[in-house]
Amino acid sequence: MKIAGIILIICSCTLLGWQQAAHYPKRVRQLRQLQTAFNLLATEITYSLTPLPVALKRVCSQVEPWLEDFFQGIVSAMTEEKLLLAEAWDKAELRLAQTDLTAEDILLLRESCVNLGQGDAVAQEKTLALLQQRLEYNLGEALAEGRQKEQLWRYLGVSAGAVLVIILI
Amino acid sequence: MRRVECLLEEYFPQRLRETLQSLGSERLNALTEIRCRLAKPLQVIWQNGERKIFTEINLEQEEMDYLLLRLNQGSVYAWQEEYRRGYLTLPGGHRVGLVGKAVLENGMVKTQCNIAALNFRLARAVFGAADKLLPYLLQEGEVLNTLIVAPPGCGKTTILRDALRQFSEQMTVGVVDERSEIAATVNGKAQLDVGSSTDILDCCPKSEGMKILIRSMAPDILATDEIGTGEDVTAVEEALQAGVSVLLTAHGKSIEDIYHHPHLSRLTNHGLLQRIVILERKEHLGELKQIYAYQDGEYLPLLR
Repeated sequence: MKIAGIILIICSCTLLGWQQAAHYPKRVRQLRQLQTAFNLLATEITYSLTPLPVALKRVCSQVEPWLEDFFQGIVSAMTEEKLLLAEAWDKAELRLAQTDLTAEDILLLRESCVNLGQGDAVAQEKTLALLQQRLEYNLGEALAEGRQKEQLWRYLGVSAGAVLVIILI
Repeated sequence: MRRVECLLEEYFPQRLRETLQSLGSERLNALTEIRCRLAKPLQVIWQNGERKIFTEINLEQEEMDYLLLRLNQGSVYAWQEEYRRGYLTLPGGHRVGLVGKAVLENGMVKTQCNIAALNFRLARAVFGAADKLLPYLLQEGEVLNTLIVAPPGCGKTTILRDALRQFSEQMTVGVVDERSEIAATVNGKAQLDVGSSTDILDCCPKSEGMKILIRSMAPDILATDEIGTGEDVTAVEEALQAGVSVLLTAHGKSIEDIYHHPHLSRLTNHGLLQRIVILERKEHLGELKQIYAYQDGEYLPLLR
């Protein structure tokens, strides 16, 4: 019984550590997915001059479900509720809370995108290029952070389980 | 919901929408123009020229912003060319004219900003509008090369559209719709009925578009609206050499206007046009004033 308890505590803590560690590669993956999605959007906007709601809708079919859900939220708010992009963004942004993006990533997206649609195609190109640069920077940071902390959380999970067992024994 | 009510629902802010709805459904759907000018009263015009000015409804900046936002879908970049040309086409074939401050680049209008006036011109496909005219345009099953002449707002395009719709039941028709006025194409779909055998080259300069259509779609009839430049006339001449019938429109009040036109006269001097149709607006749009036929080196009136 005691041994079973020990195993359970160590396994649980290890799992928690691994779960925490998994956030880092997930954030990296999601930032890369954002880069791809905004590249597609940039093509729609600068090459085809597609209006934003239509462009976002087209990109929806080519991105991962979490991004599809987010873009779809913006499109619905803009077309059905007739909201401005900034208002639609605020509404849809709640859907990003369940992702592994940090508050900083989400703020970066908002700052870069809420003024999309204003100005000519050249202005859109510049805005989206800047967004890509900033995403690249955050991606670099996320990779570095992942290298530092991923292993740390894994060890921490196992170690915390062991410490807890010792205390309880 | 009927066409104008849909338009109000989609694009107009609440106060303007309610004001216009107060006209009643019947009167509302008979409108031909809704004019919105910044800080000026809302104005509407009916087909018979009657107008009503809502003196108590001066357009506010927020209302103009709302209208523009709904029109450009929050994507100014997507309508740069339309802003430059001064109009955009809406689903349903309606046309919105817009003017504000021109932005110049190398002396040419690049776009417009600070839009201060909008003119919603409400489209209406009139089935049968060309019924009276069609018998004069056919000879032994062939469509005669025709120029429809009228001042702006007299129904040239309406007549042309209906003629194309009817001809396309038996022939292949190609349309160069430089200003999206004939078919009012939005995202590749014609919003106004121009027939099932009609190929539309949208937003393309007429002279270039006519060559493209002949090369690519081999139409029996080639149609375009409001020709007038030397390039247009050269392209028409080339189309005629290719054995295609042409249906054209041009601004003017009488056949003399065409005789004295610096470019269009090339088509009459050589008798390339077999029919010249003059339209006027008395009680209705597109009333036939005169039809001229080319016979023995001159144009003779067919209507008595």
